[in-house]
Amino acid sequence: MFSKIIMLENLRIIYNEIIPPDQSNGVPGAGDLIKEINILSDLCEELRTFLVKVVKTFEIYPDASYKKKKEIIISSLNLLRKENRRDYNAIVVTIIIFYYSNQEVLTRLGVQSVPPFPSGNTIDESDLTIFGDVFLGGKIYRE
Amino acid sequence: MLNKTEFTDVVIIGAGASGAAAAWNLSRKNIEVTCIEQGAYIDTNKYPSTSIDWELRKYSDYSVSPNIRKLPSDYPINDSNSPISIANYNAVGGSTILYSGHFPRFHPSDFKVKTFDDVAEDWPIDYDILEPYYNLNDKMMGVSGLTDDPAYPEIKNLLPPVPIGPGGEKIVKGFNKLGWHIWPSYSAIITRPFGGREKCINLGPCNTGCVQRAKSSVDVTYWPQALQKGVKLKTNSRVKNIETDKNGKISGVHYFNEMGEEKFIFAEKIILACNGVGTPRLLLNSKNKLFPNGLANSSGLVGKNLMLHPLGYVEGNFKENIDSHIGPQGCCVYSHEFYESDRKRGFIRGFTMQILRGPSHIETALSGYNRRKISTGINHHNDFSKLFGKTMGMGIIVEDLPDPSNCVELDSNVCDSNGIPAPKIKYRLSDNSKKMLSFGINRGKEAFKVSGATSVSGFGPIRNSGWHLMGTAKMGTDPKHSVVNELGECHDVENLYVVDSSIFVTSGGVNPASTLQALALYITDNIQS
Repeated sequence: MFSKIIMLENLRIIYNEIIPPDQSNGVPGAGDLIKEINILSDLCEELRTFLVKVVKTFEIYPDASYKKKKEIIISSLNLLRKENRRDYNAIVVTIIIFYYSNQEVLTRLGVQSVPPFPSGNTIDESDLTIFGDVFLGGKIYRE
Repeated sequence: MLNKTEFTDVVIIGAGASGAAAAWNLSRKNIEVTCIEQGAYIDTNKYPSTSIDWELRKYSDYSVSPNIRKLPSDYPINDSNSPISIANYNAVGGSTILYSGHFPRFHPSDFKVKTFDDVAEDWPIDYDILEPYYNLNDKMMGVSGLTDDPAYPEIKNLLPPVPIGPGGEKIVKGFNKLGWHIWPSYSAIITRPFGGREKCINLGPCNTGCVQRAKSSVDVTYWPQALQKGVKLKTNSRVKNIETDKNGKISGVHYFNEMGEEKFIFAEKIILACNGVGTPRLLLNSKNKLFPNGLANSSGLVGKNLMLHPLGYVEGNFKENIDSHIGPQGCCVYSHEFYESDRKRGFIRGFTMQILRGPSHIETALSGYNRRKISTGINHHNDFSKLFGKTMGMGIIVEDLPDPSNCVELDSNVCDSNGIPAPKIKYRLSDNSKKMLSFGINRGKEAFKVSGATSVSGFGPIRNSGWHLMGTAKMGTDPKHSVVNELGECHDVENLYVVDSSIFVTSGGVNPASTLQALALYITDNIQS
């Protein structure tokens, strides 16, 4: 129905609006991470519906600039947030999961996508003397 | 056509925490034991923790809710009439596959609530009777902690405590300032090589199964030993009902095997270990002409007095990075400062404060967004960085007192995949629980503030937290006011036993796994004799 290129372009704008790039530490935006996406299986129903609505809007403005498209998408998102918070939240959750499952993002955040196998994480042994006062406080149970 | 050719001495229904302990204990004698479990024996290497989507699996096939998982091993639970939804896991290992591994015992006073506080009823057994079974269970499971805890009689032979980390140290210092009890958690997590298993390496995702096998779920503790001793385990098999003969004595159980075929197995004794929802469901589904209101239900108490431990959650955010996402998420330190009753607080009985580590990345982002602490747009990254690695949590586990109107019934409109009627939950929080929850959340906030948290928040009851399913086949000496006797045998039906947390008279204010397993060992010890 709509060209995949157009769908992806608009999807990138939506994703970057929800999680934009952070220039200060070089973290990409969510839209910047979209390389290939299966519209049917990777997007929640609410996002698919919103995307189709946005793309249809652009048919009215076939020569709209990128800036104009972005403005339209942002205002549509804002409207959705005000009028249908449930659908808006579903879209945000989809984008958050997509973003924080990305290896590049996690590397920049200093975490790994999976706990480090087989070495594990190091936590220093606790200094148990910090429980000394509690011990000295005496029995607190009834019998 | 039923194939009535199977015989065994004892059938155990359910291979979770209590069923595993019962099976192992009976296998030490010359008793033929067959355990029927509706779930599979999962290969620990296949737990989600090694795959990139491990956190997301909490929202699908490793969700705590059977109504979300909808696996063939699950049965639906209608919990729409309860502010707390039921959590469980159906597999060999049961809910221990997903539990955090908290392993506190009941206090001695928990068995004497009538004597001490003039509420509910005393148990027909006490801490002294269970103590050797608590000790044996610790030895079988592998438990870490610290001795000389002023909140308990002496507990020996613990492995060194799980390291509490920089976040835990902050909290302990805060509690010390307040002069409140705080102690390393009793954790079913091994911190040294134990029983052929390797120690915990602080991976974190205990709640989607431990690939390291350091968390002491019963699939890696009791079951290997029970199987070695000859216990027969039928997996992916679901019991339909318990059959009695014309004299009201048990004859065996009807079940669907892994091929979906209906079978019957004769047994001299039957042990129910299906948890506080599954056990009453099965008893109610086993009604017949002699037992028209459900098996073992002359008291009318099967399914009644459901206790769930309403759970509050408090969160504290710290300015500096405390690596709070690293380490066993659920187990750190705990407090019993407010565990024993003090009527001046405005409620009776008490609660546990359980300090938790912070969530990992996806959960941080999602829960932060849902609670409006993380925004979308240009502030997103800044908001995220304020929470990730800088957040400590606290669970407030409130003792729930028995109330007959809180119950498990059968839902005539909903069935599982074998056509067996599903359970329906009716539950509400008592005024006492509400007051205790509110008090606990406020004390939690106070403790986090004193510990240096820059922002604190708290709420409860948490909906998806109905793990602790207790009280629905109560233990007691009077057949008119209880379902099983002090040895776990049903008053109405000889040789029919219950060993799970259904038999709890009261709920205490701690996680029940340690106590229900000690009970299973105690009851099966007496079956042998």
